[in-house]
Amino acid sequence: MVGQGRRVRAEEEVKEEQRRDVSHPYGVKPEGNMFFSGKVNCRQAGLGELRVMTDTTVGETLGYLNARDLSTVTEVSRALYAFGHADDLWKPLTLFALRTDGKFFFSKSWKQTYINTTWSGKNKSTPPPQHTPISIDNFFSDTLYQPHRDATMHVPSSWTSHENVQRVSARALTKQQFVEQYEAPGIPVVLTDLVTEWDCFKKWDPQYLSRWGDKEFQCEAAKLTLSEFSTYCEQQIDDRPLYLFDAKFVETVPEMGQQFSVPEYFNDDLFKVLGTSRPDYRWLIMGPTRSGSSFHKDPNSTDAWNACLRGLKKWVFFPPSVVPPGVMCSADGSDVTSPMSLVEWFHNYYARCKEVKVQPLEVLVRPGEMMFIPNGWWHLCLNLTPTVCITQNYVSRSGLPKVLAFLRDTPHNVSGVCEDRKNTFYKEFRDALHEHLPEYLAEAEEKEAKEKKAKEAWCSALEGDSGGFAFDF
Amino acid sequence: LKLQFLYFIVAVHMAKVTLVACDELRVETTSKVCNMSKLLSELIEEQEGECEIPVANVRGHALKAIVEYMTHHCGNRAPELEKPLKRSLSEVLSTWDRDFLRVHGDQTTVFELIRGANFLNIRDLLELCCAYLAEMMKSKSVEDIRDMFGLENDFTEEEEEKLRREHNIEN
Repeated sequence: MVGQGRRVRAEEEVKEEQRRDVSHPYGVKPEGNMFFSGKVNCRQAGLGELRVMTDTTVGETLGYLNARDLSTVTEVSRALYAFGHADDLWKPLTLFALRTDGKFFFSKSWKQTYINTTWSGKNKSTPPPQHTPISIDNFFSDTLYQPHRDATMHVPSSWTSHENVQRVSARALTKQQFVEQYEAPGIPVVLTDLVTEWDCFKKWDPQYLSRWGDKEFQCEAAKLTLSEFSTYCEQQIDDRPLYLFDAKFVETVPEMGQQFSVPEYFNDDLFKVLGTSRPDYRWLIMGPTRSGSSFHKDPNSTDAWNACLRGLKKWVFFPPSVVPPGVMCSADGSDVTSPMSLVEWFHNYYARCKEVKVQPLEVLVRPGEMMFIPNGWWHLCLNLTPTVCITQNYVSRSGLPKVLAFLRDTPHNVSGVCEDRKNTFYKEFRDALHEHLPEYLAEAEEKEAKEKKAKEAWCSALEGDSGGFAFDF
Repeated sequence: LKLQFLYFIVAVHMAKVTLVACDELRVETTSKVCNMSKLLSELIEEQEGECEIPVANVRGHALKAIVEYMTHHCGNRAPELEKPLKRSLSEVLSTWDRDFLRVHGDQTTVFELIRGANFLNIRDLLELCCAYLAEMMKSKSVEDIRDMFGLENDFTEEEEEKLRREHNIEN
């Protein structure tokens, strides 16, 4: 059975990737170990008055310090040595330092990487000083240990083995069939025999990609060259690894743009009527194991496709009206809790998905396959091995009414355009459609009018029965 | 019917809430103000209207300060503080926040505020206090920090030598 074989091979690849038996570089251990270790936690003596704070709060406080002051703090006591070397502190300091000067060179730890980066900025001829971690044998903290656990543990097959998303060959699916069966009703599907035809799928191994080693790409807050990013991927032990996510890759390397083509299914792409002022719509994505995206809905209510060129990607989907377990949406849309790593989400919430009324859709996408993500669906993606993908968001003909309504009714949630353009973006798009594709605009507005009429008919029928005003919170 | 609905909404917002500190001191406020605390807003929602809520591990004077903070910042949230702090804290704070820290910024009270803000889940106040502590640590020597917070130097001699070497090379 092909499916079975594919699953077994996938698990072996994941196991190969996860040969990590690394103890915490600074000796931090989980609190459970305290009782068996026979040691007293150095937290009490080492924090003094600060001991009334939680571990998280201590970390928050240290986060306000610059590198020099943070280094001083690490020399104060063993507990503060452990707190002060957290990756969560040195990673943003490094990415921040990159904005002014210095070249990114990742080695061993984020503190060392910070030293490398700022040392090169000083134009010294000697190699950067080496930071040798001291292993603290009596510091116990779940908060500090957890990122290390997440970064080094084996991803269990229970997280990756369940698949219930359809796979369809592009050879057996016309555009009309795709729209009718998947795009319009909004059903995630994996398309095969599409990406396998692309040049980039056939050519892009690490050796081929190294020809563009000195080109810069956006990696979250920083811009790194491809070779800097590759070194980082090989050496990192992050629970939330840096993700390369670049919207300008075709402009940066035009040959990349020539090595793939947008499949016919997606060629309506209606934001194209805006020409060069269209919002960002296509990205090159690369990430090491454990990188990925936590639950989100794609911008502007668009549909999307994600072509996997290299690596294994675990996808989890929830329908638009079902908020996934562990996702907290505040009333004003701001993120009220600190973001958790993908591994942490799987630890804490994945099992709960079995208890939820509406089960998620899950799939393990392999190289050469393309994921279709319908608009409005919540989705999460965890890279089980180092991955390379190309993704695009597009406004489909069938999805146009929803996009227009989104831009018109929730302008503050519009993304990919500058702040002052958000309120007028609906009009801008509508005007451009009217000029270039009036028949599509008319079709979409007619559809919306019909739906509105039907809704109103329902409401007046209900009101007639209850005799007046009804409300709910 | 619509008018009754409106009255209901107003009543819920302005409902009297009495917070009781661990030393029995009572502080009166409204449910609207308490919305700044994630914990309190959840508890109040369950109660529906006037209620009394014990705040177990916070003393009276700290609880008063916390309510003062929430009252001022209700509907008027302070902007997020940048990390790391590039300028001195007093430059980025509003006058009100600066004065608040001046009055309540003694070591004992700050830790009580942190404990309370943590328990009540008031993100902005917690951030303010953490930034204040960080500001106190800025540009200090290792010894200064030990004195400030009563910490022990528990490194071995070998470890201290290692730290000294690294420190000297880096600078």
